[in-house]
Amino acid sequence: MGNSWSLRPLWSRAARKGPVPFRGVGPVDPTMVNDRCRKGNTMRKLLVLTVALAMTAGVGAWCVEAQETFRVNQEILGRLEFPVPNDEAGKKYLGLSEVDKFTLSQIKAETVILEIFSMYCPICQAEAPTVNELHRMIERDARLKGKVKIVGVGTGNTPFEVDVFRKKYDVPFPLFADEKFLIQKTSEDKIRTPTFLTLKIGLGTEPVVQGVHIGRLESPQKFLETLPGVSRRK
Amino acid sequence: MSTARTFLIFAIIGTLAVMGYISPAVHAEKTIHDGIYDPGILKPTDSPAKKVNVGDKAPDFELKDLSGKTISLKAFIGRKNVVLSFVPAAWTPVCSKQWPGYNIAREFFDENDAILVGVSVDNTPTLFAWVKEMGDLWFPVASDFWPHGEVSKKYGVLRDDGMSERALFVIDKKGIVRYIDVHDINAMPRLEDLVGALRKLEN
Repeated sequence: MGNSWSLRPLWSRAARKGPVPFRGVGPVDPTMVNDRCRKGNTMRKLLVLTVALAMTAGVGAWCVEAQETFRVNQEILGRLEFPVPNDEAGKKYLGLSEVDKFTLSQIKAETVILEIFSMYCPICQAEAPTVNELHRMIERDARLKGKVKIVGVGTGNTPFEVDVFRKKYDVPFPLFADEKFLIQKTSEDKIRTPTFLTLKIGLGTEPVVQGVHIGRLESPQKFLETLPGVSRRK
Repeated sequence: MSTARTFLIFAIIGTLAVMGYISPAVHAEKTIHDGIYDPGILKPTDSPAKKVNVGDKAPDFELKDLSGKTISLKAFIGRKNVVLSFVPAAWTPVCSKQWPGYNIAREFFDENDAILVGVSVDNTPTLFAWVKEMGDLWFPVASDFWPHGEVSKKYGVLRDDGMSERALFVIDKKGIVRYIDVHDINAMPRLEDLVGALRKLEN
């Protein structure tokens, strides 16, 4: 069964700014929380915490209204077939055995960053050195090397066009041509380029989408820190 | 475990999920798509009968590029092969990618001693802003705004809706048309087809 869901932006901003949504809200006034804590009533403390979190979530949800959602059908994404790269380096990087085609779940990795780009997209072009740097940072980090891999999909591009992009920017990770816009079938929302999907691999036959980043990466370091478990590995 | 405690645990997990601690997050930055007008699917081609055929002498033209410099076909005769890339409209989806694509494919033009000229019926200020948004292009962009679409008309690619077709003409150093692709306006002409046409030229 299709597993489509709605992702919510801005939650992190609301959550990180923690105190802001709480300000001036009676039931979660810090004084009151402390007072109740002193009484040692754990249940009440939990209740207050829940209300506070719910209010934060409420603020987050309100912000989301003005932002966007991005739905991905993981089942379709999991069924997409990619041709195994011709070159040994590409094959080795993806950890693929002698097969003609592979799906994302077959990549030997814990996390796959799927970059949806186009050779024709000026932001993808401008971003190419940054994504190369992201790849270098992963490969240099013993905690990430072999566990986090990057794969690019040139949507609407022919193999020739993808090759122009690869050579122009000396892209070190595997790129695939998606001439028929098949990747668009994974979402009801219009996929813009570049879009980076963070996929958890190995939890079953489908990759699990854990994050969506649309547009330029602010910095490879910051993006790395958004990967599940990366910041905690330090 | 009491019902209340169970309820609270579920409430907390649910709240965290809603906040995104558990569900994935979307982070969106500006992309080229944000300022783009989508006209929807248009009639693939919409211009009168063909006026130029492969093997014909290419109609001469004079247009101003964005710096005000005059670009004429005759100035290239005997010196350079010329690729004319007509695009229908600034700030539309396919057009906003086609020229940035050529921007990273300069080597194919250089290898084949060719110059690329981008032509659009949009006026110069619009083209100026649009080209800035796409990033600097290595090839000149010329406005065929006034008399409206005059050059597009000469090449038989002025559509009935006032835009030009998405069309490519490869003209050799003798001024003879060697390749024409009046493409489906909704789709990107494949780069390899153009490169193939350039490689067939005798330089």
